Amino acid sequence: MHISQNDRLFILKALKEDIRIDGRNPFDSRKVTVTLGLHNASATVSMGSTRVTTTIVPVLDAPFPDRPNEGTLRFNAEYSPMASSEFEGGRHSEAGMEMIRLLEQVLRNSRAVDREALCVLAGQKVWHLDVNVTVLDHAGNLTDACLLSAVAALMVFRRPEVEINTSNSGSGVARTLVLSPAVREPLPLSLHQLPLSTTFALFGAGESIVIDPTSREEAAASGVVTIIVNTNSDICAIRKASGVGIPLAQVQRLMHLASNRASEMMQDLKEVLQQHEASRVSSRVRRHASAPQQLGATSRSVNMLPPNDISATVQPYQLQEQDSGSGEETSSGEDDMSVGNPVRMIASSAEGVPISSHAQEAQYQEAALQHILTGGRSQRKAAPVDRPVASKKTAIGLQKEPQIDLDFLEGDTDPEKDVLDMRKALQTKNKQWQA
Amino acid sequence: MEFVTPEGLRRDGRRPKELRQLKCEVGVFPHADGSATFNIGNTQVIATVFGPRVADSRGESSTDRAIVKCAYSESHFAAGSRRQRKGRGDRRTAELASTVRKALEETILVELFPKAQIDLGIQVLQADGSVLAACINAAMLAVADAGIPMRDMIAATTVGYLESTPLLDINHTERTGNGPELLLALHVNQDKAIIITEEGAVNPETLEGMAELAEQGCKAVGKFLRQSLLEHIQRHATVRGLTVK
Repeated sequence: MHISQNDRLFILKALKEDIRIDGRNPFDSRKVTVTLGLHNASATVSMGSTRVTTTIVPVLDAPFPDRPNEGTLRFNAEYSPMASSEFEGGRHSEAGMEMIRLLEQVLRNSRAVDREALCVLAGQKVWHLDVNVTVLDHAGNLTDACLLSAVAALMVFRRPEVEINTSNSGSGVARTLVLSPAVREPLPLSLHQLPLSTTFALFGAGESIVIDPTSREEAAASGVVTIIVNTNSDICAIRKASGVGIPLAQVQRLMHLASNRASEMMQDLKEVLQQHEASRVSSRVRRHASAPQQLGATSRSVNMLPPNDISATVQPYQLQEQDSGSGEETSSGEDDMSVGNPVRMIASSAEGVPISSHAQEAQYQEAALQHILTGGRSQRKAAPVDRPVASKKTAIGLQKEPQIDLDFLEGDTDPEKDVLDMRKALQTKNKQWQA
Repeated sequence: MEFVTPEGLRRDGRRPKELRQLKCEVGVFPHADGSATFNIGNTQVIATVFGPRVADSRGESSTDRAIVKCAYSESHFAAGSRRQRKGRGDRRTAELASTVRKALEETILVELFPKAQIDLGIQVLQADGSVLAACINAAMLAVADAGIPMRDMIAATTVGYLESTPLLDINHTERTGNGPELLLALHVNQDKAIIITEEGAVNPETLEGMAELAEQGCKAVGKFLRQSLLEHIQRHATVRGLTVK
């Protein structure tokens, strides 16, 4: 950012009296807000009007040959032109490169993320995490905002569980099955000693120092120092790659300030994570707003097989209100990634028809029953028809197995009778919905 | 691997607070405005300076100061194994170049040369640890050789920390210990730190010790650089039949 000479002089003069242009004291930080995505892969950080978002994309792929049992972390920092007039689109700027290097240094090289825990099958399949940091709005102190958002995203991120199937592999190549969040709760990363940074701007010949500079202050500053402290309150990294000189004693003082601020920020971040965890768990419980309470899980019929029984019995099927998102990340994998979502739906309604009402859902359930009666047993291996997208809401997976037992499928009971029972239950439910 | 023996010797026989052998030569390329080689142990760097001269593009130049540009390159044979991968290396190279550039921008009195450009060329012949520090030292010598006025002498050195011992001027073998590493570039007379980069987790008290050692190291290097420049000038004076006290 370029500022006029008058602006610069004004900022410097005000700082001589310990006044900053936004009314803060020299060692006050701006308000930091962290918003975590419910799909467990992103975090948005705002510091004043600086906004940075980080999204993590897991990719299951072969490991690098020199490290066969380690996953990788790849960082990318996008300084998009919409964030500031300084940034050009397209190729990486010097600042963007330095950011990537910093993220690599403090999150990858310092082993803050346990990369061996990202290994699925040594030498064959590991998780590669693409950490994409995007600057949405540049109002100063990008370093702190980028690192905080990357750390928050890593903390909230959960990778899908993977099942390894070695039994039916004649060729010695094991098949891996990525389980959707609906089937198995995704796992968090194992993280140690996460780093948080604090940036200071130096003015004049280094005589005044402020914390968490805005972009105008950065433009007027004669140097910037970033100190990164981890949760162990060890110094993780110091960056002072440019600008006016500073006595080493001053650096000691800044280290102390940075360490205090990092522990405060980590405290806040953990609180946000806890709240997020609570809301995540509560949003996993799915119920109709309009559905009567007594029609709980048991009367919601037939839906699912417990995941463990999948291989033993039939292709499972599932009916649920919101599962549009559950399969989309995993289902488009490679061949040997197998089925993205093993819990599938058997329903023969026309594809592409949006299912939104309860009546339509009842139709689905009916269809599913029909399928069991007619073809389900004889066509166990037939590929089930994917359920049309029901809603655009992001799916939050079921963690627990359904409470319905489906022993009518096991053969020793009379399926006809069971199905009739269920059909009755369905009809009553429909009536209640219509009422 | 044991990096410090119980007797307090390092793998190459140095004491923890000992620099490797310093060697430098000023004015090695007659066609350049300024040039110098700087060796510290097995690390060898050549630096050249062209300028100050009129900036290549008016868009980049500044009306109140000279701009400094730095072209950094590392020979393919510089490190232990011949360099193959390029992608990540280039990002590292870009960062090294920008660090050297910023260190010199802060040292040269750039405001004396508005609209001008000063080109630095850095070539690393052998990389055996403390490469960036060697580049800064070599660049400083070359700039001095070009007769460009500077605010102060800048000198750089690294300090590592292995086996609870701060080690001055770590070499490549010691870098493989993956301990914390501090690079300090100091304006030796003003006692001001221009570049401080630290990598790897270390507790603040230890870092304080490392910083102190680095400061002493920088001053020792600075003294050597000053001595070498004086000798160079004296030799020139003698050749030209001038007398210098």
